[in-house]
Amino acid sequence: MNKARLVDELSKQLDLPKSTVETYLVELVDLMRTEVKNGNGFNVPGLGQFETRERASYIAYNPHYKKKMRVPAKQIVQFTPSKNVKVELKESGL
Amino acid sequence: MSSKRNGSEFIDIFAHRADISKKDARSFIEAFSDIITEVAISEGKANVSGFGSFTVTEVADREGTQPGTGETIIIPAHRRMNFSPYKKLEETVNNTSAEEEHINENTPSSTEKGHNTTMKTESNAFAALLDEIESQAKQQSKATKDIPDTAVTPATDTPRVAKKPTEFVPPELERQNSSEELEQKAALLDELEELIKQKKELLHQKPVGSSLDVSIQDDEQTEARSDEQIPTSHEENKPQKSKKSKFLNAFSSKKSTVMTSDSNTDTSDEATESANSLSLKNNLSKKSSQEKQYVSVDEELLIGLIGSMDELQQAISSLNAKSKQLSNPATGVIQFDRTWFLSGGFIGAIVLFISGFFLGNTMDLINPSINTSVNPLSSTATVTAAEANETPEVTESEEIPTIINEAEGSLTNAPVSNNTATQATNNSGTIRFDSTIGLYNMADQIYGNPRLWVLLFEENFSTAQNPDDIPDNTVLNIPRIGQNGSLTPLERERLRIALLHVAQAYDNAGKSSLALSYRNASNYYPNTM
Repeated sequence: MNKARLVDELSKQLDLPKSTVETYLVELVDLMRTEVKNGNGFNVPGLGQFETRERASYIAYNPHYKKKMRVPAKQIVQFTPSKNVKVELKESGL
Repeated sequence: MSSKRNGSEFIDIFAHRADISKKDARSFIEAFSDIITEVAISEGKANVSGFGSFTVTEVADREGTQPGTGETIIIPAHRRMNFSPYKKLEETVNNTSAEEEHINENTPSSTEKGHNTTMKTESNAFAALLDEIESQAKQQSKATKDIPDTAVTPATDTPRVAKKPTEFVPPELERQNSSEELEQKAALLDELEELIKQKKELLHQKPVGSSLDVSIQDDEQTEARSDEQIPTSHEENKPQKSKKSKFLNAFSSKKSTVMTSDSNTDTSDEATESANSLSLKNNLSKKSSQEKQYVSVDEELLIGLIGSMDELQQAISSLNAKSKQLSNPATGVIQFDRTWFLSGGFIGAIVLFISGFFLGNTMDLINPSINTSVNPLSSTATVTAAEANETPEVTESEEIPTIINEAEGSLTNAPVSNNTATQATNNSGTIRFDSTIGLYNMADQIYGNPRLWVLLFEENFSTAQNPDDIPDNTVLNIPRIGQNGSLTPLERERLRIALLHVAQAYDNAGKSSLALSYRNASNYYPNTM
């Protein structure tokens, strides 16, 4: 799914012209990006929560080279799907 | 660190930035969320350009611990929606692009590759050896005498080549290699033979090199040692174990005679064969005098062994004949073979020892008379390890259908449950499929466990049916399972098969990731029920 299709679907669902939807979408994505960068968690209604947290450094094992390597600590973006999403996931059946 | 922004705050900010009403902002965001969710679920992945991608992955059942009570529970298989930020976002979050550091950089290991490549390297080494011999033959045809070289180079090469497999390879595999090696060598020798024949006249005059004689003595000493070791261990053993040690003894002596025949290339083939039979007879008589209890059994055992070894001997003698024709330049080949057979002999002895041990123990438990009937089996099994390697696969593939049959048989024969009335009513008859409920929830209603839906599917549909797209109002037969509240081993096996069946169905439906997770689940899931 690419941006064009997302815009297409949104404009269909909201009954808005594609150009308007696109500006909104760009704005939304930009907002989400800055929120992620700020490092504060934020909640997108209907989708879920985004949080940045630090993943501690850990020792990984590369089976190909048979080496242990240290993966350094890293900021990761953690996504927790909303209740809505979880229900849909469940309803879609296993 | 300020607190998390909640949904309405987020909407406020978005409304402010996009310059639209909060209501519109909310409906826009919700529509956006809906579409992302929908696409991610139906297609497995939804990209939001400039932000990241949402993926839906299948999570198989796993064991977990109930946090409150501490008891072990099974977390059922479910789907999970993940988010992975696109690369630039991830980098800006981290400020620096992260790279993995290697802790031990200086230890490139090549150990495990060993076995698969050994064959190649060995054959390569052999080919190189042949080339070398050929070039030497050319040199010698020009009347240059460099016997030490021909003898030394293969001698240094061969131990390395011969030892390799013994380090990594189980004895059975090694045995298999030996027959293959033999064939390879024979083929290579055939080729070489023709080449050498042309130069035969020139080479024919040369006497056997002195270095060869020395090495033969060495080999014979080691053989003697190996012969000595085994009888001593044999004497220490209890009479129970004597059979296996005899088995071993006979084999090793046979091997050693073969090896001596190999080393005595200047003597005629007939002589070596007679020597073989002589030493075998000696062995036989020695053994029968040592252990009179098992004389008859042992004789038959040995005869069986001799029969099974005949093939190998023939191959070796043919090899000998060929190497004889090669005359002096072929000393490298002969040595190669000898050292190889020496190591092969040891390995073979080990194999026979192990198999003899198990055989001896089990036979003693059952009946001594069975020995004779089983021994040929064991000898063929050890001599042709290729067969032994194939058998597990065959039995495995054969097991499944039989178990299915048994499972179905038991299910159809199973009486209607008399313990729990509710289960009995639920677990019999048919049900109409309702797509609004889904197989998953139907299984929950029927069995009280939604994960058993695979059984419903396996019972009613072929693998050509997409499990996620079952037509409405299909009449489903309900397999009776879990009559007593828990699964019998056969039912577990059936569950495993059902999981594989579903995996195949998902594969056919083009959902390979789902198929994979069900295939994985089939390995452990039935055991956790």
